[in-house]
Amino acid sequence: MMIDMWILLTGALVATSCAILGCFLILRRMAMVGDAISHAVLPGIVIAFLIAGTRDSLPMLLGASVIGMVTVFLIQCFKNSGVPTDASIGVVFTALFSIGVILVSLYASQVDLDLDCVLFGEIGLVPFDRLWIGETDFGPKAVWGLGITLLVVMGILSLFYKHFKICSFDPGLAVSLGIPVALFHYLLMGLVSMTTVASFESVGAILVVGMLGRTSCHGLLADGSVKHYDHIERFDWNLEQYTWVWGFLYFGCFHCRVYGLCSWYPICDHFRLVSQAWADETLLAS
Amino acid sequence: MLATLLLGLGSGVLGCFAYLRKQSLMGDVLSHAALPGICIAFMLTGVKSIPLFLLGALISSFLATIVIHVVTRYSRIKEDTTLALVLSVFFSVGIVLLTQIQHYRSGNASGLDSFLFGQAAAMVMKDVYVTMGMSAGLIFACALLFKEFKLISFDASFARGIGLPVSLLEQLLMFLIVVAVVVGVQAVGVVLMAAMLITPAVAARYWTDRLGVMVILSGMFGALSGIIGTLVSTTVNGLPSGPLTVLSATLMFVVSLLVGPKRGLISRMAIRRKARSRLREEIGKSTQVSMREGSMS
Repeated sequence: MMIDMWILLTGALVATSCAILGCFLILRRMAMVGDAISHAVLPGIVIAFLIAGTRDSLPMLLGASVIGMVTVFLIQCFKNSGVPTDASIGVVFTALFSIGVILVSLYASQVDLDLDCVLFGEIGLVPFDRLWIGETDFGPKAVWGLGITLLVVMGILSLFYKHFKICSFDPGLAVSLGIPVALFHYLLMGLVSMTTVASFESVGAILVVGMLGRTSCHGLLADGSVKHYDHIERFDWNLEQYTWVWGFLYFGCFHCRVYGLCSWYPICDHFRLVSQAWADETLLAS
Repeated sequence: MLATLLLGLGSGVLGCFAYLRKQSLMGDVLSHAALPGICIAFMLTGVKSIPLFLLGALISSFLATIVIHVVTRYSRIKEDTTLALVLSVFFSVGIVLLTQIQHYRSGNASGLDSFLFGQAAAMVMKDVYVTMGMSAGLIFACALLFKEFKLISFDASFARGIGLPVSLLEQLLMFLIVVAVVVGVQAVGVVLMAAMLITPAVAARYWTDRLGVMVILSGMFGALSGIIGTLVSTTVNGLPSGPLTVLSATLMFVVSLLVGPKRGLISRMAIRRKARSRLREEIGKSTQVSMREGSMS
């Protein structure tokens, strides 16, 4: 029962931080950035492993975060020099990922890294990797890491909530108000890369993408159709609603104890919301 | 090597259209979406046969394109978000199936992993023929429908106006991309197939403003990177060819970014400098004029 609870908590933590950040990403039409970062961190992990020589999570987390920021920076550079967003995302992450694969195969004898493990993750193993300080057992490491990540994300977002909002909806206005748009962009991207890195151990890199995208999409669909106010109003709603709903959903699906299936339940819910939003719209139109 | 060459050529050509239609990441999504198809094909038949896998992958990727099309068309969700959604949904279904397979038939399923990550050197002669035939077919189809694809990439409403079946052509283009991805997956792997669709096209964009030239250039870049990747992979022991191919394509992209005529960074800097000096000259002239006028009055 204890183990179940830890798994549940991990899932909820991942989902919550992804959901909060996902709202901003979707509004900036950058949903695929999560995908890019999660693939691109591979060389960071390998390099950190080669330098540090251990499989400790801390150096790996550090290496991965650094590479995540590099990814974002490169994407932004290419974008500024005239490459469309999607193409620059595609070029950057595939190049970094192939560097990672080459590194893994070069040092395959020394590196005890499992490619599958990085990409797919296994939430079922989370409770067994525990944090020991002295003789006391402080619970699973992943929960601590994710908890801290969530706190940082929430802290920064609530401090600069207004700034982020203006930057997402109207960058021009933000510039004219004197808000450092580029700084907030990198701050947001830094948070995204931190969350991605912290969660890929437990849920896998590729599913993080789904969480970043899907949850916030629900938000957009669920109340976007009910409240035909201006965008900003709608957006406020999303954030609140979706952190809660999502944590709740995770509660529901992990009780089934089918870890791999964690994405199926939300899919059903997703279709329900889509159809509901559709119905509402047609009602309003007629 | 011939297989990677032709594959690079075909995906480079198709990538141009995907790039112009702002669907570069489609390749990435489709290659992930192939996973459940492959797993289902394996579960149904229990044998590892490449043509069956290809068929399964083809069906599931094509299903993914239809889902993407429908969702973007009929809901509020934007295209990039749809891509992310479809990718994760299909891939997670695939992972669940893969775990099932590995649980129940351990040992028999070991080949599935290598199928996903790709290894050109491990291909047998029959696979090479399949890849070559498919790539040649792709290139042929593109050449045949070049004019139509050009039209729907640049001005879809005009194409509709002159009576072309636009949505049919769009689906056809998607289908061709799906075929390219599925064929490429076993040669270079899931993730890297996306690069083969994007990178050569972006690189080629820097050299020309004409679509015909761009398509040819992009195909050449793709083919060249395929050759370089395979050559390096065979000379240096133990390096996989897929990532090397992608890296050589990326290198070409960076070079194009720097030195491309008109759009490259260096030539753009030169243009800007020229404009600045001309501006300065003009300002100098006008101040001289105004000073002279001031002294006259």
